[in-house]
Amino acid sequence: MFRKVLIANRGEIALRVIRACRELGVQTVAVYSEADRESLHVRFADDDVCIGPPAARDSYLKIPRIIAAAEIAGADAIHPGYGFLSENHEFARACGEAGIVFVGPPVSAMQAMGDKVASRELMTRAGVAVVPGSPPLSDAADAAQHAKRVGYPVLLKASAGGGGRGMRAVHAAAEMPSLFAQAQGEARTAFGDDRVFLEKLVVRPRHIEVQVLADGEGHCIHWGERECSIQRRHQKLIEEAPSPAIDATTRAEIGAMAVRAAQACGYVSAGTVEMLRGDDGSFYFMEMNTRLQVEHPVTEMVYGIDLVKAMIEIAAGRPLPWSQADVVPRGHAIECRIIAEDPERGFVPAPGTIRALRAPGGPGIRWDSGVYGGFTVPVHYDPLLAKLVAWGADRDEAATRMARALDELRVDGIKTSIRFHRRVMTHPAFRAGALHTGFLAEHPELTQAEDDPWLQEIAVLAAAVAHFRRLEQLSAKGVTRAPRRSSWGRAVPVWRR
Amino acid sequence: MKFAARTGETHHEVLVTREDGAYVVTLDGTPHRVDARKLEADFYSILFEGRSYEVSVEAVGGRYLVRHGAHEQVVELADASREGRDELHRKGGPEEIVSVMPGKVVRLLVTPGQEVQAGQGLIVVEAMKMENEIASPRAGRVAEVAVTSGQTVESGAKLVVLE
Repeated sequence: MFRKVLIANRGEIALRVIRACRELGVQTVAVYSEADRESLHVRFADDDVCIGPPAARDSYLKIPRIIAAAEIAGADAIHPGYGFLSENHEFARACGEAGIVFVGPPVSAMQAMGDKVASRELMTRAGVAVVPGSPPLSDAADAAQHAKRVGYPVLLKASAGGGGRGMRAVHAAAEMPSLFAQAQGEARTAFGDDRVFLEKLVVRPRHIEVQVLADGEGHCIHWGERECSIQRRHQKLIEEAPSPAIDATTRAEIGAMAVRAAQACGYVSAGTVEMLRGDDGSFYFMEMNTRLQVEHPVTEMVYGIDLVKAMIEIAAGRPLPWSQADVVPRGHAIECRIIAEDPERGFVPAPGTIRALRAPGGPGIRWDSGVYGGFTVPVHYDPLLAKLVAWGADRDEAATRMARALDELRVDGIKTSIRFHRRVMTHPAFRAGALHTGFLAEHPELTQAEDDPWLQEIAVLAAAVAHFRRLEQLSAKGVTRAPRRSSWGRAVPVWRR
Repeated sequence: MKFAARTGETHHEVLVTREDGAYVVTLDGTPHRVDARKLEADFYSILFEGRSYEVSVEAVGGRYLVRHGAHEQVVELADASREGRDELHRKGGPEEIVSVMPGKVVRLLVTPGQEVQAGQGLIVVEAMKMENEIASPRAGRVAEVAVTSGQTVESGAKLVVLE
């Protein structure tokens, strides 16, 4: 086993990896940018190294600085978490050259799956179904031609990308020029690579993904599926395992397909094969994420496994102690991503200082958080604050338990997605499991603020008492008037997309 | 103390006094005895008509964001003078669109003098790893575009003025 693992990440996932290391008796090194000096992962790790200014490209994406930090701290392995450098094969290679173990797949597997175009070709050869699409596109006219061939609607995607950035759905030829420019621009800023390709858009698709684990001896097993259909801007908000649309037979089929995909690229470590399931029950390979997923806890809850510990043990050369027959799901788990965004204004980012925070607890609840009361959410990184996971004996219990936990959870001072999640948990279409990636567009009431009539009276009473106390305090200081309305009330920006 | 209050489109008259360590809040003529204790941070424990409520009350200017469980309600309060009541009714006039976060202006979608519809894109700002299109909150005419493409903006910076 390793002596010391450096975590090349921040926020809740850095904490998650630190926890796994602690349980394995391995020391940890946190890296942090100047904007993250007060972040929780720095408080949890054994050692800390500052790796540069706030902008990710100068810190969390700066390969030489992270390698140097590992050398200074004496780390013999690096866990990349998700995002940042986790799917960067040059980083994995640099680790190897420095004699540090990269906790993840081999460089060759990352390369094979990292290029979206090459991975589609590889999957086709391995007999895995892929959505019809195009090679990288030279310009909007080229894009329009390919779109005509596969048929509208189509989805523009960044060749080097992931996480929904650089993606645009195009429904008609007239929209192509402006949306192509947007996708290309976003791909360039996000990945430094503006190549864009397109795929046929599968109608009312479910986002289904299969978790795999493979060891260095070629043994690969799958851990069932997760459904992550509730998304905004192609980024996931709520995930669950198992999918309400998938039975044991289908699970075995798509599991075998995922194992084939992993073996086709010589995969080792934890990975996820993402698929689209069409209305008609057809499955298409989308991409393989060669890293740990944000939503891995729902699989952990249902299968009673620790995927992060498994990754570290595989990286240390241990074989998988399980066979496929050992992998049996139990109950149901749901994850809500608690994000610093305002769902009622088109999910506009809402950074700021958390004035007060209370985490939920009780049976079946897991809280993976990177924040605390008094913490200022930096504007430089993604808006994920924490992941709330609820396990239940069945889907209904998990959803009811999640609603209960969301009622206990309090994050004051900034806008968050808590109220949105609470609406989803009791929504009839969600409870019926009628999910697809257009779920939020189909149910706009989920992202609309409602006045809660039963709350109005108690809210006025509470606000009046708070106002009264504030004026009393001010008058004790000799101030006779409360401050007038701030810009918060007068100038309300409205964001969308 | 007497206040004018607003929740959504509903206006209320509120009178607050202290009595025996509790508060008496007269809401639209009906007195209620409210036992309110401020606990940690913004959290209040409120005993009201035999029920216990845990609410948090966050003050932003004259607006209060009251949370109970996952539910939220905005309550605006002003003093009960004519001026205070008018303030709660005020609408229209020039409107400044400000940036809610630091970021970089990547594109301008409108020019001064242009008529815009509600929901029409005004400016694209990059922040938190995303390009965000700032849409017009209402129909109107662009009086001023206060930033240029490529400019870095701070939170609260004026972007566009609508009239």
